Formats: sequence, C-alpha cells, structure tokens
Amino acid sequence: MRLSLNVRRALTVRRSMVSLASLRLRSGLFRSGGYHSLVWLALSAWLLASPASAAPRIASLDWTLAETLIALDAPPVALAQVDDYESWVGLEAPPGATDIGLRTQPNLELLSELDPDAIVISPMFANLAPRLSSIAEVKQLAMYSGEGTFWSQSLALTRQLGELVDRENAAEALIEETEAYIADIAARLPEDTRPLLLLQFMDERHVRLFGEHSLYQAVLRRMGLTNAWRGATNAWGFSLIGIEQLANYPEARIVVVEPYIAGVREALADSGLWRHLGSVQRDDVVTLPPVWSFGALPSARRFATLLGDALSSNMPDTRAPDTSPPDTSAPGTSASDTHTLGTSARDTSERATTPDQAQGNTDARR
Amino acid sequence: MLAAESRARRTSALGITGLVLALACMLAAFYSLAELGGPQAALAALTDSGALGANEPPDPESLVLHYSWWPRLVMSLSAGGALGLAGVLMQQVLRNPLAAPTTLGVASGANLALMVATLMAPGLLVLGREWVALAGGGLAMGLVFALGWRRGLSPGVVVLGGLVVNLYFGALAVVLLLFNQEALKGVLVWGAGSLAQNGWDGVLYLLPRLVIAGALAIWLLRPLALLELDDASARSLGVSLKWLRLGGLGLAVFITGCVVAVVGIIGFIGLAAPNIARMAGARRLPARLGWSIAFGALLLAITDLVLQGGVDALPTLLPTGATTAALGAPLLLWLIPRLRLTARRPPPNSNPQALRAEAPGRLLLVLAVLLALAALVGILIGQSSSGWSSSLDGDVLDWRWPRIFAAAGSGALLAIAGTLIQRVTANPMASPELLGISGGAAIALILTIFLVPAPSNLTLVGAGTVGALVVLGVLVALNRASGFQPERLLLSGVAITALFDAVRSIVLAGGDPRGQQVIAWLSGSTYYVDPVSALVVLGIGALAAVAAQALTRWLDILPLGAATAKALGIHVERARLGLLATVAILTAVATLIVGPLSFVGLLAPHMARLMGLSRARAHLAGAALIGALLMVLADWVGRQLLFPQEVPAGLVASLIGGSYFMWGLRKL
Repeated sequence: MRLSLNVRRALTVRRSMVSLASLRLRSGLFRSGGYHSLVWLALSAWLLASPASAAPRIASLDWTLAETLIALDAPPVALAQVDDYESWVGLEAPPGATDIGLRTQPNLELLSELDPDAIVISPMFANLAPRLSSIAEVKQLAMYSGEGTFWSQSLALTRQLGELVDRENAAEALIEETEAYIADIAARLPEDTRPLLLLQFMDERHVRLFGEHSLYQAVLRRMGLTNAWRGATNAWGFSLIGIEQLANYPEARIVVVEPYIAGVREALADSGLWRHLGSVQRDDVVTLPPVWSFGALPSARRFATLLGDALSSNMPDTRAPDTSPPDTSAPGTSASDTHTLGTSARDTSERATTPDQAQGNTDARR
Repeated sequence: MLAAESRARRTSALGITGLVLALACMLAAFYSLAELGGPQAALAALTDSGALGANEPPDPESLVLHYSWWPRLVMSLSAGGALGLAGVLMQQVLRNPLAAPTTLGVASGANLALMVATLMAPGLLVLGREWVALAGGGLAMGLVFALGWRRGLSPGVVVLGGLVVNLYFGALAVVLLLFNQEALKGVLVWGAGSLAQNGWDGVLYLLPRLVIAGALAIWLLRPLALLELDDASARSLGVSLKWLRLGGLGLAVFITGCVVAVVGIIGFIGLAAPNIARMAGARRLPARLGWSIAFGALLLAITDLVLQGGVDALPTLLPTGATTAALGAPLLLWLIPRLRLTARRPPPNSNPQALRAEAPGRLLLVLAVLLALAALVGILIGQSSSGWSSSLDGDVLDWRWPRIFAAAGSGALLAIAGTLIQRVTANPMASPELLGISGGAAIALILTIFLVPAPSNLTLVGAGTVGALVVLGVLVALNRASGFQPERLLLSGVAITALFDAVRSIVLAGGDPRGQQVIAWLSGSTYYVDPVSALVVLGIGALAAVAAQALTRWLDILPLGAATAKALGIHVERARLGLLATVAILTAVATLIVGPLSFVGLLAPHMARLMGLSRARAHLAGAALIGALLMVLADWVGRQLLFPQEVPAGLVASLIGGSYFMWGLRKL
C-alpha cells in the first residue's frame, strides 16, 4: 500500500516534469530554435517514453467529460452507463472502465469500492456531490451552461480536465490538433455549399433542429458553413419542432444525424410533406452516423470528419474527396480517431466516406 | 309547463355554448392562417392539390397548408370528438362523472407497448406504430376486464382495476425510461400528444374507424341508457349487465386506442367535454353524446390552433395533448364545487366477503418478524464488483443502513396516510398520491431542476416542501365550503395530479438532458438518503404509527357516514380536516424521500385488508408494517436486480404490490 503510494507520487512528479518540458519545448522551438531546444527535445522524449500508467484514477458520471478524458489519453477507470456510452457517443469505451450504473444514480457501494482519486460530474448532478465527496474529491465541470460559445466552453473544459489529470500539454495539443484538423477539412470543402439544416428525428413528425449553442453549429461555423435555422434553441442548442417547419427553408440542404427511430424512414416515404421538401426533391439529403450531440472536442472532431466527407463525396462536380486518413500524429487523439469510423458499427459510416456509393447517402426519398 | 320551459332554457344554453366554441374555433383558425396567406390560400391549397406537382418544389405556404395545416385541423376535430364520445360512454357505464377515456389503462398500455417495441423489437414499429399502440392498449384493457369479470364488470371493481393497471404499467414505463432515456425520446414526444401532421395518412387511418365506432355507439344507445337505472331494475328489464358493460367499455376503449395510437395521449378532453355538456343542460344520453362530441372536437381544435400560432419563440413545441391537460386542471378545480355529485358513492367497505383474521395480533407479529428479517437481509447481503457477498464491513454497511431505514420509514408513512384517507373517504381508490400532495411536491421539484442552475439536495427538498404546502392550502381553500366532503377532496387531488402529469410530459417531451434528473427524482428511490434524513424519516414513521392509534375512534366511525358520525358526537368537519392535515404531512415527508411514484399508500392498506385486518387499529398497524416491508424488500430487490444499476424502490414496490393486488382483486 505504502509502496504503491510512493510510486504514484514519484510518477506524478515525473509527469509534471513532462508538461514543463513540453512547455519549454514549444516556446523554445518557436522562439529561438537552436541548441537549448534540442536538449529539451531529448529530455522530453525520454520522459514521454516512460509509461503514463499512473494518471490519477478518475470516475466519470458524464459522457462528455469521459470522451474528453479519453482523448487526453487519461481514460476514466469508472464510467456510468458504459453500453449506452458506446451506442450514443459512438466511440468505444476504454477497456478497463467499470460500469457504475446510471448517470443520475451511480452505484455508491461500487464506486467506493473502486476508490477513485477524483469523480468528475456535470453541474446537472450537483445534488450528488455531497454524497460522492465522501468517496473522493468531486469536480464539477460545466458544458452547455448557456454561458459563452460552445467552442470557448469546450476549450475551457478540455484545459480543466487536462489540469486535473496532469496532462496540460495533451490538452493544449488536443485543442490545437482539433482546430487545425477542422480547418483542414473546411479547406477541402466544395465551394458552393447550401445552408444546412441539422436535425435528428424523434419520430416521423418531430425533429430536433440544432442551432445556436450546439456542437453541430459550432463545427459548422468553424468550417465556414451556414446553418439555415436561426430560431430559438435551448442551452443544449436544439429546438424540438414539427417537420412542417422545414418547409420554410426550401433552399436548405437537410443533414440527418442518425439514429433513425425504427419505422421513421418508412413513414417518411409516405409523408406528402417530407417528399415535397426542397432538399428531398433535389435528392441531396445527407445522413450521418450517430454523433454525440452534447459532446465536447472529440465529438466535434468526429462530426467534422463525417460532415466533411459527406459533403465532399456527395457533390457531383467536385474533385474526388481525399480519403487518406486524417493526420493522427498528435498525441491523445489518435486512439479515439481510429475508433471513429471503426466502431460506429453502422454501414452508413462507410457509405458516408466512399464516393461511389454516394447515392446511398441520400435518404428516405423513395 | 315548467318542464317545457326549463327544457327550452337548457337547449338554448347548449346552443349558446356550442356557438361560442364554434366562433372561438373560427377565430383561432383565422389567426393561425395569418402567416400562411389567409383563408383563401387555405381553401385553394385544400381543393387544388394539383398545385403541388410531384416534381417542381411548391411554395412553402401551400405545402404546409395542404400537408400540415388541413390534416391537423381535421385530426384535432376528429380526435377531440372521438374522445368526447369515449368519455360519455365511460361515464355512462362506470356511473362516474370523473371516468375518462384513459381510466382503464388504454393510454398507459399503449405507451408501454411502444416503449417495449422501441427497445426490443423495432421491427414491429416498421409495420406501423398505430398497431403496436393499439395492441398495447387492448392488452391493458383485457387485463382490466379479466380482473373485473368475476364481479360482472361492476363499476367499482373496473375502476379500481384500471387504476392499478395504470399504475403498474406506468411504473414499468418509468423503469424503462430511467435506463433508456436516449432511446425512448421519441416515445416521450408521442406520450405528450402532439397533433402535428405531415400528410393525410393519420386522418385516413382514424376517420373510418371513428365512423364505424360512431355507428356502433348509436346502435348501443338504447340499452346503454338503461344503465342509469340501478342494477336490479336494469336486470329486471332483461339486460345482461355484464355484456352491455363489456360492449360499452370495449367500444370506448377501441375509440380511445385509435386516437392514442395516431396522436398520442391527449388529456382532459374526454373528461371535460361530457361534463360541460351535462352542465350546459344535456340530460338524456343521446343529447349528451351528441353535444360531447361537438364540444370535444371544438375544444381540442381551439387549443391546437392557438398553440400552433403562438409558440414560435419557444425552443420547443408545446404538445397539445399535455397542454390541454395542463390547462384543463385549473378548469377542473373550478368545476368541482359546481359538479352535482350524486350520492352514488361505492358502498362503504365494499367488500362483503372480506374475511376477518381470527388472530390479528399473531398476523401482526408475523409481519413484524418478516420486516426485521428483510431489513437484515437488506443490510447484510449484496453484490460488489466480485459478485454476491454478505458483508459486515462498516464502510459497506454505512451505505446500506440509511437506505433500509428510510425505505421502512417512508413505507410506513405512506401506508398510514393511505389507511387514513381510505377510511375517511370510504373510497378504495383513495391514496395519498391521489390527493395531489405528491403531485404538488413533484411540480415544485421539476421547476427547481429546470430553473436553478445546479440545485443541491437541500434546495430540492425545500422546494418540494413548499410545493406540498401550496397544494395543501389549495385543497383546504377549495374544500372548506363543502365541509371536506371526501369525493370532492379526491377530485381536487385528481385534478392536481393531472396537472403534474401534464407538466412532466411537457418537460420530458422537450428532450432537455435535465429530464434524466427529473425521471430519477420522480422514480421514488432511497438513493439520495443520508444517515440523518434516514433517522428522521424512521422517527417520524414510528411517531406517526403511535399517533395514528389515537385516531382509531374517528376511523372506525367516519366510514359509517356523516350522519351517523354526528349522532355519535363527532365534529365531522373538524375530524376530516385533522385527518387531512395528518395525511398531507405524512405524504409530504415520504414524497421528499422516495418521490411521488411509490404506490405503497394505495396498495398497503388494501393488502392489509385482503389479509383480514379490518378494525381500524389492526388495519393501521398492519398497513404500516406491510408498507415498511414492501419498501424494504423493494429497495433491496431494486439494488440487486440490475446491479450495478439500481431500480428505484418506489417502482419495484409498485410492481410487487401491484402484482399482489391484482391477484387479490381477481379472487374477490
């Protein structure tokens, strides 16, 4: 027991040296170059090569925090509703993570048995904090609080989590890499893209239409695309509406984020209104595999990938989309990125990426 | 001469009501057409579907008019009319002005079927959502009928059966929802009853069925009118009451099922339209039928048109079905003092075959021993990451004992409250949950969760207490004039509970992620209990059990009726107020711990009576022990069943208690 504590402490010291080193590395390389930076480079290479297994053991009750932790390469040891995480976030859960039950009511006995170093929650579940704090330190991290833009909130969240797991450098790298990656996709988009309507079907009569404050909108903006929907949205960035309201935007292109509820496609095929919508008539409806609509940077990155691929491949008169794998050299994000397309387990993700099947990408038109 | 005059006055009152509603409907229609090009464009879009050629995109206005506005208007008119019709049938057969189309569990059956299909057999939904919903509704109805068959579908048993089936299916639905909120978000939108249309398919599904049902209703009119007589006279006219009731209820359920399948759950219309028709002066069954259909259609259409026009600024749609229920609740509260309640209350202690236990003392002892055993099991045995184990480790026990204590305490509280209210009202349907106290606390909790950024438990409990107190104040204010007459008291409670259901549906349909927390709070779990509150609840529970013994004289006498009680020297009004206040306090405390959805307060007193504990003293003690036992057992089962996920104790209690209850009801 005492030994393991000592080891943990020692490794923590080493990890903070890593972050220090990489900080120096960055400033050194960009400002002066030369000998010093090379020394720092060698030093940090040595430090980085050592195993990072002694990261603090975090339990996450929130999927958005969990996906960010995973992207920081500090996967949580305990996660609420693991199966649902995989199906709704669309990413693989970290292999070692223990399922601690519901997000609203995590199993306290199990959690105290796991004895994590810290528990991260969203303010939604603040009422759990007093009980959880008898198990471990509780950190409340806000996303979708209605303050600030999605992007500023998710950057703050990423940095806070980076600090929590002593991986500030990884957090900065994740931010830079995600921003660069989305900019890169944006640069490869075809010129004339119509305004988009981003929606998720609730049933064949109702959709969630995403707008201001939403992850999707934030990604659209960074990619230089326009959202046709400017109506009111809630703090999570969506509005629940009947699909008849889509008729007011005949010029817009419809982007459906899966999953479709069972029976909805069939019902839409019979719906007079849906068949007469501009986007359906033009046959340019895009369908994307599930992306966690209330996520942070990793989900934003995933959404950008899927949307970029779909828009590029679906435009008849643009160059063939660049199907080479995205740049995965940055630390932290590479793991989640390989999961991105591999684990969504839905054929549509392949469809969205291969140009020769692009027609399959437009949906519910027949 | 007077009769003719009063009939003329009644007819004119009906006519005026109808005219006012029709005018309001026209106004609302014009208002909602303002942005779509006015009535002329609307007529053009209706008649000239050629303008919507298959290929070139039509202009948005006529598209919306043709495929959304018109079908929606037709749908709201026909659904409203159908619910009015179903409501009259229900009220006629069940002889209860507060029976509603959903009384027999159709809506909750359909809701559960849709949830199960969504999660386990999505293929069925491809065949058609309507069929799944209709099958679920039919199944629920079949269960209710099976429960009441032996007693000739007598109104009391059918209503009670419907209530329990509603609770049972409702509890199952909340369990599914708690574990699958993301997957079931579509069902939540459906459950709130949206009339949005995007084609004529729904109308084409509903209308032919309604025509057939309407024809059947006309055919049944004459025999159904006989149900206004009492059972013996009706029988002497050669009517088979059982088959007539089956026919009438079956028809009402079929109509409701069709409506619910297409547009979801629409509250209030089926209850209000027949009552408005009756209050406006429609007496005989054919007149009530006709006017209820008209009023129901117009009421729903007006509400829907207004909602369509006025909610663009909100980031969510206001589902018409839940909104009618929310708007209807205050109206119902206003109506209750004006309703002419016939003295046709169910006969007191309506259970002639109820056996009396020979030795109640021994039975109570057995129950107490069982409770102690269950508590021991609950504290000592459980699962951890390494499987089943029994543990004496203090750390583990510290997590468990508060929950067991709180479960026992709140179970006893609710059971005592339930026994009090059932004995005072002599109504087997009565339960503290139906008094509206829990509903008031729950509405306050929901609002707090949505309005306060990061509410702590203390904030939530405070808000819940305020909500419960406000409802208590409303109940007292509304019922003082009638001397706290039990029926009216329960009706006010039903209205407040309906308001709570409506608020919950609207909030959950919106899909806000905070809905998770609402569901968790409302599902009745001992999860949030800490040691202090556990001891407090247990203490109050024990105190209540002792204090209630002092009330047993009232409880033995009040069910005999107000006149008898007065003759025996009891100040009836004061006794009722005192008991009501006690019930309210006990319910509020228990609700704040385990949420509003545990039906222990309904079930435990019945179970005690089914065991043969019928004198007030033994009944109270037995119910308290059963309530505590039920909750302790439910808490433990709930924690182990889906480990590491926890099924809230309140839900498990409703499932265990509901099963036992149905079994007992079948035996009657």
